[in-house]
Amino acid sequence: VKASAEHEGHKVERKLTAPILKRILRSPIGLRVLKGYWGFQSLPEHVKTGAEFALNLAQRTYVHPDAPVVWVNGLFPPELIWGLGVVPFYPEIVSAMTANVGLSGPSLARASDAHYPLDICTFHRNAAGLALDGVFPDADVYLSTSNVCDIAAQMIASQAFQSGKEYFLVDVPPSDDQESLAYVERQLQELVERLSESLGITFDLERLRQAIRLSNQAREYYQEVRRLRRSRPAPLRGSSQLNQLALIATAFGTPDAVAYYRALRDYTGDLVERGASEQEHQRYRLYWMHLKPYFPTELMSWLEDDLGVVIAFEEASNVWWEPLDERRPLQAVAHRILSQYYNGPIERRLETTLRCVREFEAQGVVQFHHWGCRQSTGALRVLRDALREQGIPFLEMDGDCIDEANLQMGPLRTRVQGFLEMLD
Amino acid sequence: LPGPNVDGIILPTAIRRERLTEHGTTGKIGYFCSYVPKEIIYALGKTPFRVLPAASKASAAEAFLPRNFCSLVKVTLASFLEGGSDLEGVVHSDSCDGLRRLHDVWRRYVGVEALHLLDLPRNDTPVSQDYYAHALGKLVKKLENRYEVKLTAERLSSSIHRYNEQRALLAELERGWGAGQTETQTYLGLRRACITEDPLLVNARLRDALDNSWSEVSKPPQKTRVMIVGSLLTNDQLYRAIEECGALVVAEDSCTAGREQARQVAASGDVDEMLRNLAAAYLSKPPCPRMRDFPRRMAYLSQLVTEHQVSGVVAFLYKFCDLFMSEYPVLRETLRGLDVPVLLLEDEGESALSGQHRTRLEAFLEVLQ
Repeated sequence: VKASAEHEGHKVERKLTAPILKRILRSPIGLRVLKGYWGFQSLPEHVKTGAEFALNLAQRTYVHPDAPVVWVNGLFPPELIWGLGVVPFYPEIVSAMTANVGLSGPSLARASDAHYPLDICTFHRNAAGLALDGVFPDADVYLSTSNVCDIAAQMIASQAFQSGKEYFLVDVPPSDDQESLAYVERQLQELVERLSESLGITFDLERLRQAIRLSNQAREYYQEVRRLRRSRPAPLRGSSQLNQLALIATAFGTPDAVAYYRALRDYTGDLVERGASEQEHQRYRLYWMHLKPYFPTELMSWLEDDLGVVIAFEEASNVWWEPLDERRPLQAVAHRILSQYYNGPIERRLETTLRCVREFEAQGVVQFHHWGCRQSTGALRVLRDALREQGIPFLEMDGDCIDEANLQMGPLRTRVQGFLEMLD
Repeated sequence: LPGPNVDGIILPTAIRRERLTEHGTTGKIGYFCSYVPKEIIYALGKTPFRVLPAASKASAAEAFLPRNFCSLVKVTLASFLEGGSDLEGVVHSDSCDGLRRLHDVWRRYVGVEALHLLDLPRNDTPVSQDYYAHALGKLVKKLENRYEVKLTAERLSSSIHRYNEQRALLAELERGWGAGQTETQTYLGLRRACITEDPLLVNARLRDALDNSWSEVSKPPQKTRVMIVGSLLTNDQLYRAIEECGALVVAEDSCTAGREQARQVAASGDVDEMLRNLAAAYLSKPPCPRMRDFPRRMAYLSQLVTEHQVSGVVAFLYKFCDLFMSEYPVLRETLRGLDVPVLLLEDEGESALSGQHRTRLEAFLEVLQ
């Protein structure tokens, strides 16, 4: 949201501290003022919808918890969360948001003081610091899936242990077949039963079906956005799409997601119809893998505005799952979890990459290396060699999504310029 | 020692044609995680070989894995890239991010056959045990087809008995070592043999070692009592360095000790039933951080500390191992609650203990004394 506002020329106060943020988030007036502020801004409809969703969620987790608050990892299927009628809180996503307003430095230092080793992912180290500073809301229960990222589940389990609350892990195997599907579905069934018991909630199958219907609607709109993004000039900035990933992780299964993606579809369609774009200077079309820095940095505007790099599509914007079958909702959710392109052997990620490169006619592929992320960098050598065999240029950019001290613009400039010269 | 066709194992023609080792197996199959049941590999006529890093540095793996990647995985990969291997193949497992990605890299760049990627649950529930039994069944089928051998109930039962015996012998040796009745070097050597050699031979050596252990307790009880926590503890120099400082290693939590040991497995019923028994036994062994079971893991570690009257803990953790590293603050807090200080040493996968490690260790043990 802040990045979008800056893009529109608004200045956002950066001298925010953890204690101030903690007070704002727990103050009914503070959140109402923020909502009013966004309401009056001349921002695209989808940006306002996204901001309102985030602020409503903050209100439900911090100020007026009208349902049990559940901490979850970013890959936990949101349809199940909304279907259960609980309110989610995502430490790693909020970690990125706080980096966006310049808070990560002190939080990372706080985590180091508490002996979190420096080599672990800064999304989670920052989250640990924020939790220690009391910025995060209290949880009634902690949930995570095990897929893709080891440390996400580990940190949620650790927080549950430290707070003395229950923790449920949905174990996700690398296989994607009928047996693994049945296995994950059985775990989800167990999870529903145990949560109903421990939180005293009544599981309403119709509510889950409704969440699935809403998720499918949002998915359809988002796929339309994807189709529109094949146009030239590219209608959307890749950096703005990398800013809205929280919606993919959190909002599917809500009416807000339907409204958001419908508005984004209309906005994109309008740009395409007018032959217009969020990004004037367009010279190179690239496919972007993994994430981007979420702290204020010149990197993305240097790439997009100065160099004319068009992020034609982002790996993280892939809707990897098929429409969910509401007749067997838990099985549908299980399938969504298992079919994630990062899950299992590297070939799944490679296939997704090659498909997107072809679909968006990308001239090359860029991977932004987030320091400490093992799953996105672990088998890159395989990916790089496979892309090379197909004649697709590949650039690895070292950096960090959360810690600005870990992004060295000098060496990055040299590497990027060399890569783009090759594309010329 | 008995001959090759022990325990009623009838070797199939394909295997009989091959040259048998003197102990009945026809080759070695590597595996990477203590949650992989050795019993299955052994029952199929192969020696299960826990892959241990052999390279002195991870340099050879630098071109294949990122520089900030688990140092254990890197030095393991380097061991295979640098030199030859006598393994017929390896069984990979979905143990952690590091080992998952090693499987990806391995299939393309390492000349040792990747036989299977084993689904390895992170929960110990009836549902997970069922699924693990099913996953073990898939592993069995893969190995049966690959080596043209059939896993029978007799073979599996015999293998389970063999390893049950080994667990009991090793536990006894460990108790004796903790009490000062066995040399550290002997204990470490045999412990390593348990995960890399034919159990038929190793069990005999274990019995010999127990017969030859001293009856008198030789370790003076007033020495500082240290526990080591880590994943794969293969660096004997660490033990020596602690002992050279006048302290004693009295307990360990690692994949090579403690956590390596599943409980006794029931060896009755048909193959499917025994696979379920193996699944249950392995998933319920003292948990690795990969299981995310902090309550059980911290209780287990606290119990080790109390039982062995530990006065200090050395956490010897592989650099960039997310699971252990992110557990460390909780471990530290738990130990603080027991009034036990902890020293974190990051292992970069090098075979030699660094000077910095030694200095920090000496300072830590001095304070404890």
